Amino acid sequence: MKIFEVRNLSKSFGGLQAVSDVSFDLSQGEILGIIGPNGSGKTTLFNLITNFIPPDEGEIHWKGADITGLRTDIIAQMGIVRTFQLTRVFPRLDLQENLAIGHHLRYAGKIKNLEESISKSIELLLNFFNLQDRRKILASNLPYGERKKLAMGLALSAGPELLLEDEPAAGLNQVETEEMGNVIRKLQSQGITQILVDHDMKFIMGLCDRIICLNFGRKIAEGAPREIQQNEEVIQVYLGEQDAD
Amino acid sequence: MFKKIFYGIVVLLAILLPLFVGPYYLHLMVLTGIYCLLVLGLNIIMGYTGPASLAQASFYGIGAYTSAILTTRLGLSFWIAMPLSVLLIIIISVFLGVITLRLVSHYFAIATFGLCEIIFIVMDNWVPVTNGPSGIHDIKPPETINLFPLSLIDLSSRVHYYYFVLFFVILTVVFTVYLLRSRMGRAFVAIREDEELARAEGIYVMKYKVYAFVISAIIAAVSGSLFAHYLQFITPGMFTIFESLNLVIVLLIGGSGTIAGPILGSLINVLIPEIFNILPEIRMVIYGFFVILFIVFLPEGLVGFGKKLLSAEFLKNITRKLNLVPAAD
Repeated sequence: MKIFEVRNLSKSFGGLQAVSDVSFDLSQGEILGIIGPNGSGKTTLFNLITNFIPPDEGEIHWKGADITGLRTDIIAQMGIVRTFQLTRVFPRLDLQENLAIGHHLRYAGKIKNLEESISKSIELLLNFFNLQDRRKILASNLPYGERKKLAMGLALSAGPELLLEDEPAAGLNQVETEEMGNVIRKLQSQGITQILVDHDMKFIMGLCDRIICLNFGRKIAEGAPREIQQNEEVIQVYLGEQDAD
Repeated sequence: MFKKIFYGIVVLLAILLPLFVGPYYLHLMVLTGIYCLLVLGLNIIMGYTGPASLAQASFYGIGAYTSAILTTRLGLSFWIAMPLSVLLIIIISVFLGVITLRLVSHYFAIATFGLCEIIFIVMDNWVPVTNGPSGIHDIKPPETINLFPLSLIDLSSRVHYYYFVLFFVILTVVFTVYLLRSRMGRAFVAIREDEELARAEGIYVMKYKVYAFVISAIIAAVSGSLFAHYLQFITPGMFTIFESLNLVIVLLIGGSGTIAGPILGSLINVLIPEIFNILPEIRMVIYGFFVILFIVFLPEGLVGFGKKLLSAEFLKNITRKLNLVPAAD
């Protein structure tokens, strides 16, 4: 059974059909890429899945349960966490406090050991992203690349099983992009299922098991990276697909 | 480290205060203490969770009136009346909170504005219960408890009442500190910083907003009881929207979202007019000016400003003067 299923998801804003009859599914541990020109509905799709915006039609199933239209924080509790296209962190708090908030879902009770295990988890995350020396710095003072890492760290603190990443490589330089790629691979090896949205083709093609291409809210292609790269409609939609940069 | 010493000194000064000042200033300090409680309460919904509540004075008033009515009309003891007024405020604030907290911040402020007006109108017109504009005049101070050593406390004495209020202030400050470190407190701050992000991280935003609202209301109601039984008379005119606005301004000037802010703000609120002999009306003009100044340049109020001064420059000067190598940043 597929761990995650999206069936006939649709959303329109006034007259504009942002997402139109989109369906796909995922197996555990898969990395799915979603590509498409700006405005093709990628971020809206994330909003619909996590119910930041309720869908007009369609269903979303996670581990066999229908999660369509559930409260966003409950969806997060069930294991689906997202990041945002415009990187969001808690600006006036330092890194450590940011990550502490991210662990909100992991507090089961008020046991002393719980505080310790959360501290340890925060340490692990800081080390994972190589940010341990920056822990007391205010999030708003972080340079862009580190802020993106923090945003990823925030998503991971919540203990997700399905991670929706909205443009994780946007604005990153060569080195940072590679680091992000390594992070994503590591997460896959830990069994976390991921959906990536990005415009960096080399990044997406190199990481994803499967790719979906959207255009004007519709799914126009689905397949392995090779197939997508050679799909005529996809190429046309991008007006001559950008070569890896 | 320095913080703890600093607060220790402040508490010590507060405890020793009645030895140094005469009755008039002690009276002012009692009022300051009660006011401080109000601002600390507002700090929880506004400073730590986000939305600006203009209903704080109403909860203050409801606390005062309930306590006053229960003791003067129903002959209940203060020690029963005050907890009952807290109970009432919990019911009211949960109900009102669930309705208004759905609204986005600006609309929430407007809604609480409306709430404040409605409650004032009730106080002013429900004559059989509240005695209307004349208010309630025969409020007694809290009865002495017939249990040693509490029987030594006589709350009709201004000095004793001062310590009574101080007790609540310290209690509230300690409560706020622990709240901040708790899961609930972190959720509050997360909501203030970025509500949608908090939601994405699994925080049930509405629930926590209501908690913050109710906690603020409880603190306001307690202040109200303390106020009513100190001044021994209350009128609706003491609990208007202007009081609510004044509270918001004091919080902003002192430093929203800090613990020292409400305390500092309350002191300024009382002492400045005294020191400079200003009419209350002119004080509002001055406040208005400072609020604009503060919001633009010092969003974290005086306390935030103080922190900035203390951190960067202080350290720079010290390291320069002592010829120390600055610590790695």
